[in-house]
Amino acid sequence: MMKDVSVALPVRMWRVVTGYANPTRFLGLCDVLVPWCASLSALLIALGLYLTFFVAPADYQQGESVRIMYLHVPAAWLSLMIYAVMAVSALGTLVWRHPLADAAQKAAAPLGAAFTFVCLATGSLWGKPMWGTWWVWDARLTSVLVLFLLYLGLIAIWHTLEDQAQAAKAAGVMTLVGVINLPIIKFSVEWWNTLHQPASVFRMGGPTIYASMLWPLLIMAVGASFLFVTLHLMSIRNEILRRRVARMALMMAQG
Amino acid sequence: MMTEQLAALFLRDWRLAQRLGGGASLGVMFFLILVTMIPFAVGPDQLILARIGAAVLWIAALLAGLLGLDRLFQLDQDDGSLDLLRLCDLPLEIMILTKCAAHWCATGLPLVVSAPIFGLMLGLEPQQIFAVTLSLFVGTPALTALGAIGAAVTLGVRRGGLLMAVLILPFTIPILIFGVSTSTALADGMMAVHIPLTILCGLSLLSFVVAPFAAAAAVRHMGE
Amino acid sequence: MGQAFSHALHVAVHDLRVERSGRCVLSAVSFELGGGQALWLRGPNGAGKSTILRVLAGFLPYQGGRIDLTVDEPHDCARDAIHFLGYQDALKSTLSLRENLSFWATLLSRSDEEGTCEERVSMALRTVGLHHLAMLLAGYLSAGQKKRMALARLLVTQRPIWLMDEPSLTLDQEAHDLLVGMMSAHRARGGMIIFASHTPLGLADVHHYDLRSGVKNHDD
Repeated sequence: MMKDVSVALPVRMWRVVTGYANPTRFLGLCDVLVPWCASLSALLIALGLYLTFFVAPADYQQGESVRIMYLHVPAAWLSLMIYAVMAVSALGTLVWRHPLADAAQKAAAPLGAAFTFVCLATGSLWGKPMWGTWWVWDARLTSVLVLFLLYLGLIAIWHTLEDQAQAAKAAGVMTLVGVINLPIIKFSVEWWNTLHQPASVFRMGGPTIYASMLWPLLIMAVGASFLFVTLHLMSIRNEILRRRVARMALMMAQG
Repeated sequence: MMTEQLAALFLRDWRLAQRLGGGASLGVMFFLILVTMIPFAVGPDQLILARIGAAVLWIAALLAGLLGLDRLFQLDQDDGSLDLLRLCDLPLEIMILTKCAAHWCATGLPLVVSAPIFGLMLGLEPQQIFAVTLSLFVGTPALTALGAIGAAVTLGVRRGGLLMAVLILPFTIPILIFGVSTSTALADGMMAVHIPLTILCGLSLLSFVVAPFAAAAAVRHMGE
Repeated sequence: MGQAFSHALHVAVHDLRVERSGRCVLSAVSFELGGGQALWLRGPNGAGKSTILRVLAGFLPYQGGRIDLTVDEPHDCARDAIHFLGYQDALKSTLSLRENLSFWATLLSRSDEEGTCEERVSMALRTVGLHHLAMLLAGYLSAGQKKRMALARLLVTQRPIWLMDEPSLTLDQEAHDLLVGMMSAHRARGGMIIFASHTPLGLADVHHYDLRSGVKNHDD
């Protein structure tokens, strides 16, 4: 990460001041929160996996392969939720100018891409025995693939632009533009004829899924959410430290 | 001594392609986007997609591979490194071949590795996927070599990327033809694959020989 | 540091003519230089100082006249006897200082160089006063520090002919003294320097060639 060293000293100092406004307190917050969130997520995921394999019933049509659902569905929910987190962070950068918002954005992108990838991969593995094909270009799968591409594009912005402040603005704008994909994903199974099954949990009339399947699902989802929070906090912490190292390197170069 | 020098050049170019973050992964992302767009245009009919799958992968690999090839020499010329490379006692032709090798490892090889996954998405049969991946493995180095000629010829030209694509794509047509027919030849049985594949190997080897000389000549002249 | 260069070192330029884009930018340029000597190319901007240096380095062709470069073995050809210092610093901002120099040290050196690559790089970094920043990415350096890195490049391998285009640009006083010291030491070893500059840089006993009038003089 390279700084523009020809910028005048007062402007550099201003940047340093606003940059340090919250990070130190935030780092302290991280040190407290991360262990709790990590333990909670480990606990919930362990419980969820136990319920998945030993308690939840097998499907009368699909047999045991339905258990992939307990990985696939939470991953799908997470991929959408993380995008929403990124969109809020983007507003934080562009509108409210919060000093840590761009770090939050940058940290969330790879996590979102990872969860989307897990969703696509588990969906593919689930679909092969069910539909007979690894992939089908129906509305739901394609829109999630597009979400994956959006995540990749945002990661590319962060890595390609040398000026990180500029990258933050570019990524912020692109994130907000991409928000349109979220309702498309959600309602794709209703608006178009798809191979993918329609919504069974988040619907107007309430969930249509059995309680014995619903509870493991929700527990896995909450556990995965805490996993995301843990990783996100750790990632923001890393980003803050990375920026500090870069600042120190710059000061070292100036002697 | 020469191996150390070439190794140093290879590692530097490879490291730069990784660190400037964008070169390698950006190519694969573009590859994925192109593959994703085809079903939007053609329709999700699995039969049609499987029929044109090999062609789609090849054209997408071609275009994604051309991405970033204009950086092969431009970055070095911008900071004066290209001049200094010419002061090395090694022939410029060999150094260009080394730069191409580094570029292919950083950008072309990831395309080849990700092709099977995209082949699955297009609904290709496993044998077809194998044939396409193999043909890409043999053919993409040739694309890099040809692209080097284009990159050298368009050194310092504004909007060089598009011009380079326009200049080089016609020369890549034979590679495209034999690359795709490696997969379609499968219909005649596994053994029939070796004919287009061998011709593809021959084309690649030919480009390895021709491209460094053409590119070196272009670099020397464009420096004027 | 470094062994002496061959006594046979000699550059002779006869009646050189250079055209660029169909326009004649240099004509009837003639001078001779031997080992241990320095030539100062002077003239207003646009007179062709950079062009002569690039022609001597082999980057540009010439349309008339002759250039005779005599270097003793182990240099097989002229181009590996030359160090070129231009306006650009050839530094990759995403590589560290040590990585940048190690690359040039490996690429530009011959098999009979004294000292390992690391030793030569460390010595060069120490000489230009950047050793404490060796692991830093080159992108963090100021313009003056980048120019010092370019000077360090001249120290990692021993080449008899130095072609330098405005070497003192962006250098502070301390770095300027370093440059002069380096150039004097190079001459003392029998090396040759041809440099373009607006001032003679405080070097003693310098030949100069005026590109306006085409006259070569010798300062005592």
